[in-house]
Amino acid sequence: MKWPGRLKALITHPILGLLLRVYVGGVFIYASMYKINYPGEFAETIASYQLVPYWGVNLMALIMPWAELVSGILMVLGVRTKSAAAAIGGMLVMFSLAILITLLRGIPIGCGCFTSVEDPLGWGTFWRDLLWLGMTLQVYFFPSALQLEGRLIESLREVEA
Amino acid sequence: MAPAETALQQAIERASRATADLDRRVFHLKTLHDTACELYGLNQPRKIMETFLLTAMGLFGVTRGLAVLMNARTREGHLAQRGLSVPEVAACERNLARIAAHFLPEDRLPLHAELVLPGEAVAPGLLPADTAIILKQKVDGSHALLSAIGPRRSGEPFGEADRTVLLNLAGTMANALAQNLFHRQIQHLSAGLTRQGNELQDSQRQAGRARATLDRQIFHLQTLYEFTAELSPLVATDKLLDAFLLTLMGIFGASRGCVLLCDRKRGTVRTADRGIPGPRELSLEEAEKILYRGFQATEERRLAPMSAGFILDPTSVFPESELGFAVHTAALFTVDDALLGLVALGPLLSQPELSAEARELLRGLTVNWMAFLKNAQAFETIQALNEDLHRINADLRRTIAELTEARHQIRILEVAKNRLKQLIQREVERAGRFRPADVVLMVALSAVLALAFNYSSPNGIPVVPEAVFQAQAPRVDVLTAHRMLSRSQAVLVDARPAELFQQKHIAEAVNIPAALFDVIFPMKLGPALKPEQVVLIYGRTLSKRYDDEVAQRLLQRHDQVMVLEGGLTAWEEKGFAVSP
Repeated sequence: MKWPGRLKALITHPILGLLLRVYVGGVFIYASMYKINYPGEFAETIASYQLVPYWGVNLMALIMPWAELVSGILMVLGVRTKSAAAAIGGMLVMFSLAILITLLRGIPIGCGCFTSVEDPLGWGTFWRDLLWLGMTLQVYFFPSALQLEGRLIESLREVEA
Repeated sequence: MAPAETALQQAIERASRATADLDRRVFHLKTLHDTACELYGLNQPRKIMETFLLTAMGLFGVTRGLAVLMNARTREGHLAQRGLSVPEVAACERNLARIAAHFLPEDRLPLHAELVLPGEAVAPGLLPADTAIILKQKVDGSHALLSAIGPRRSGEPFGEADRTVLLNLAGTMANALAQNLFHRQIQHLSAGLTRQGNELQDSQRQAGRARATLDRQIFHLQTLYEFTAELSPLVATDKLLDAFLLTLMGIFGASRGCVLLCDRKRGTVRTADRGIPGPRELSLEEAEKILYRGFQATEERRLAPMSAGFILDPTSVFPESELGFAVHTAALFTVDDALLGLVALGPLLSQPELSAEARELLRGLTVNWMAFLKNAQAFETIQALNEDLHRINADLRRTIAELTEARHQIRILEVAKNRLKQLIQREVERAGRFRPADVVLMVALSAVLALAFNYSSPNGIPVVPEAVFQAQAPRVDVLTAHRMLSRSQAVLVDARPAELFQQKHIAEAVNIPAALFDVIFPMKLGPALKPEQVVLIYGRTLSKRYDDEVAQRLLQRHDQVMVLEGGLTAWEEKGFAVSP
């Protein structure tokens, strides 16, 4: 097997998919924990980006951590994996754009990705989000091992038969 | 001889002849009289004819003769003879019918005695050949008489006087025979009348007995009819028992009685009693013992189905303590092998014991009642079968309902199965695909969870910022604010976070971030702030109205608070100094 083939086999390997699924999903679950418990601080973080209208900051600060938690759990469990990966990918795209815009505007704020007290936002944060986005795309496009939904469907097929 | 003497002699001779003639006539008349007396005293035609023959033979010196009495209708004859040989008698006996046909034709019988000379009789071989005189005469409407007189012993022919006497004698015999026959007919009629009278009396006696029997049978039939009419509407065995017992007690005048019915197939005993103190409850075993003793004492010992038999000496068979009364009459009945019983009656009010007819009536009533009992049993069996049938039908209906319900459930389950199958197929198809609806669902779920959690969390925040609903602090334009600052009439506060303040701010501004207001305000502005000074506040972004938040808090401590209209941007646009 030539190199491109090996690379493709490696990238599309279900185990890799499982690892990336658990990692990215775990990151989102972890990231949601503090935000869920302290929505006020997260609202301040969102407001510091100066991208969300004044009246929608609190609502976004409330819903987004739970969306991270729900999609992260679904991704880790392998339930509606593609939809969860799409949601996480969408959020990562949104985060990356927000970071990019903020960096370009030169607003000196913290990332607020996990807690409210973090290092100032930088390009590392941007590339990190892009890396996570790439992992999420792998999960979206290629099958991964140990998907709970897949096992459940297999059981349902057995029942149907 | 003198003529006178001659004449006298002739007269004497004539007188002598006349006397002899008279004597003969007297003799003949006397003979006729005697013969008539004798003949009328006889009671048999044969005797009369034999007496006639003997008289004629004695009178005329004849050696033999015969007489035949013929019945013109039946052609039967009686022969009487005297002096004939045995072959002649046999020939006459044999030729009686021919003699009658020849000499006594029915349509030409003489009313009076008619004398026929042998030469006139053309009948060779029918009568003895030496017959001297033949007499034939009609006796009555159905009988005729033929007499044949043989020759005289002396050989003299019969004179005119002899024939006359013979005719008279024959007439007398015919009259005697006619009288005798008439008497015999009278006697026969009398005997017939007597016999008929006796028969009539017998018939009357038989008719009386038949009428009595008929009356009894009518009474029995009437009783049976009324009994049948009374039992007809009854279909319950217990009611039949009661009705039967009451009827028997009423008919036979018994003051006490009981009926016992033992059903071996069902193992039940039913009783009905009247005039006995206290209810009688018998077990099947007790009933069987009573019936066994009864059968031992019946006349027949064994009863055919639908029959009844009387128990001999029931008083000794059933002691008074057993049935509760002294049994006077008792009968066993058998409907079939499994259904049998006993009917017992106490002393009768009108008679010491039942007559034979009454016993037969009781037997008939019992047999008739058994037919109703059998029908009642059949009815109860049919009723039980109907109840079973109803129960089975109910079970069947319930089963059908259950089957229908099960079928309905099966149909529902099949539908559910199909839907589940479709759902599984749909879910299988969805599982490997991205669906925007799933994302919407996740967002919706997140929103619900978020709002619910935020509502219950101590760190919860309002969904919409409170400042949106609060009254705004007074506004001041940039020029006025700058003038007030230049006259030291106001203090300028930058409400934004420190990072933004450090990035760019109005030169004279004091940074008091909204998030740290309670901490920084006392440190930086609180003590130095004079009551007449106006606090001017600025600082807001797209996402946050820091100026309004700080203004609201300051208004709680200070009266002169105003928000800079347009903020840092308007300040810069007017060309006023910013830092750095």
